Order: sequence, then structure tokens, then C-alpha cells
Amino acid sequence: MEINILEEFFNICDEKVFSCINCGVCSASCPISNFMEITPQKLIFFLINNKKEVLEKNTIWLCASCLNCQARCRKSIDFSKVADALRHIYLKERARKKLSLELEIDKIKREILIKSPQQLFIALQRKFAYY
Amino acid sequence: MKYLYYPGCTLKTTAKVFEDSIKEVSKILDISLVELNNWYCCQAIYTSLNDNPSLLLGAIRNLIETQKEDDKLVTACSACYNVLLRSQNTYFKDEKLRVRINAYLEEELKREIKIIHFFELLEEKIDVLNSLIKKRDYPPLAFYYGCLLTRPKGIALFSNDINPQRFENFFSQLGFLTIDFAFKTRCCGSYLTYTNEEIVKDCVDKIILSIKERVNNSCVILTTCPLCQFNLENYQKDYEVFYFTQFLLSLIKGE
Repeated sequence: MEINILEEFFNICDEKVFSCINCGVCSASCPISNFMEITPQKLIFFLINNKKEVLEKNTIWLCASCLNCQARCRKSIDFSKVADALRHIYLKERARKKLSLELEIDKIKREILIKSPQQLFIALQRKFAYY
Repeated sequence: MKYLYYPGCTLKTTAKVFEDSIKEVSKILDISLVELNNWYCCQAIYTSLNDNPSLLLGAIRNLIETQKEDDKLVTACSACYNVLLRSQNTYFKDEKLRVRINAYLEEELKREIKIIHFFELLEEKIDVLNSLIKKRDYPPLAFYYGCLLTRPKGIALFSNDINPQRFENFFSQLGFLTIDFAFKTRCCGSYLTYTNEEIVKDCVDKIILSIKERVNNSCVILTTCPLCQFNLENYQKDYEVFYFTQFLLSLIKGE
């Protein structure tokens, strides 16, 4: 089944992505955009052109909701909400196809798991879980 | 003064030193903190999807527990502060979502609860603190704010999200040298430490580099957030990282 990414997106998120003027201040202010396969600005551009590929990029998993881009955005678009919604769509698709989740808990280093605050771990799980 | 207090899960376990120091400092300053009845997880991070009211339930339930006794709630963990504040904001702004959230609850949240950060209580007591401090010959202090107390703009504790000054003012009034550095509100990488360690290393490196630009030799990094504290301490060895209350307590004790 082909999914219509824009339709799915607006079902669960009301960020006004169409008001994006593609200025790129989000990509410039993102502290980790150099690790992303496509920058936040490009991701929004792909999304409004209804490209399903946005779900395959690591960008949606790397956004840690620090809101630096939202504070800079001229159009007050909250990219963290866009990423949250796309993650959710991706996980829903996988759940529908009965595939396991992306997150592999076993691969996390044990010493980090023991020392880290559990709030951090819950945050991770919440970003990777399908509700 | 008596305040209701929401500790959150982290302050009870991995950030135990933070809670212990908060309790001791508040005892010394005559602030009585009463732990909230039946508190539980605030749900760790704020996420909002229109079709899913359950994402905000944890925070709202804590606030409902609060409204039974008081209309103020004190918390010290940056993450809890951020989640409680934003969840409440969404609850009162988004009417459709509110109706759906209420369907899960036995009771409604009737009025807005004032969420107070422990730092705000200390600001009021600065004169008392000033007279208590025994040791002042410390290296300069670098205060790392992180993202949770400074954003989203408009509702966060600090109104300036690029160069907040409240902690600097606070500590310079106590007679300490503070330094301004470029990346004091930049993301530390948060939970990516589990999945993409190299990203957190990169983020922490940049933060430390921006501190190094401003100090000659040693300095002390202070923070309010257990998440930032973990990342900053785990991925660099140049500077010590303390919670601000932990630091204050050591000053009062003169250690």
C-alpha cells in the first residue's frame, strides 16, 4: 500500500510546514545538522512536495528536540514536532507490516546504561516507541 | 515558606547528590519543601501529536495532584520543569486535545498551576545566602544552561535563549567571577548518547571549546540539568561539572 505522506502528516500534526520560506536558518542553527543525511530545511522541502523518502532519512531520528531551530525560525515552525510526527508515521508503518522496531537496546553500551539518568533512557524509548 | 515539591525520578536515583543538596540548602534557608503526594513520572520528554492525548497524561496527572493542595509546584530538574510547563501550556491552549485528555482523567485540571524552578526561590533569598557563604576564592564559573530551561521561547524560565544572564547575575552578586561563553544554551546531544555517541561527543567538544576560548586555566561548570550533567561529565575530562545547589552547599560549608 502506498502511503500519502502529507495526508498522514496532517492527520497527526498541525505544524504549518507550507509557510516555510526555505531560508535554511533551521539547518544553520541545528547543532547536529552535519550528521544528518538531509538537513531540516531540505526535509521540510521534501515533505511539502509529498516525497515519501523523508521517512528513510536519519534526520528524523537525530533531532533531539533542543528547539534551537524553532527559536530562530521566521515562520515559527517547530521542526521537532515535524520530526516527531514523521517518526510516528514510520513506526506505524513498521508496526502495520509487523516489523520490529529500529531501536536495538542490546547494542547500547552497558556502562552508559548503568551510569545514565533514567530520565534520559525513558526519553529515548519514548522517541522510538509507537503508541 | 512552605512549597509543594516535585522531585522527579532522576533526582531520586542517579542525581541523588542534586536532591540531597537541594534539601540541605532549603533547610539552611528556611524553605520548607513538602513532597507531592502520589507523584510519578512526568514522561521524561515533551512530545505532542494531535491524535494522541496519552502523551501528556503523566504531567497533567501530577498537576491535578498539586491542585488538591496548592497552586504552586517547585521542581529542580530541568527536564521535569520543561515537560510540566509545556504540557500545561498545551492543555490550556488546545481545546480539542483538552477534551480528549479529560476523557482519561477522573478529575479536570481547573486552574493553571504556577511551576517554579528551585533557582527562583534561591534568587529571593540571595541576601541570606550572601551572609552564609564562607569561601569565595574559586576559579571562574561557567554556567551551562542547556536547552530545557531556555526554550521554547516565551514560556521558558529564561526569556533570553541565546545569552541568558540570570545565573551569572546571581553568582556575581555573591561575589564570584562568571564567564560568558558562546554555546551556553546549545544542545548537549541528550539521549543520542545511547544510539549515536559520536554526535554527543561532538556537541560536548564544541561546548567545551567555547569555554576554553574564554578562560585561561581552570574553571567550574555548573548546571541544573541531570541530563546535561551526565553528558558533560562523561565526555570530557578537562573541567569539573557540578549541580548549582551542590556547589552552593560546598560554599556554605566552606569546603
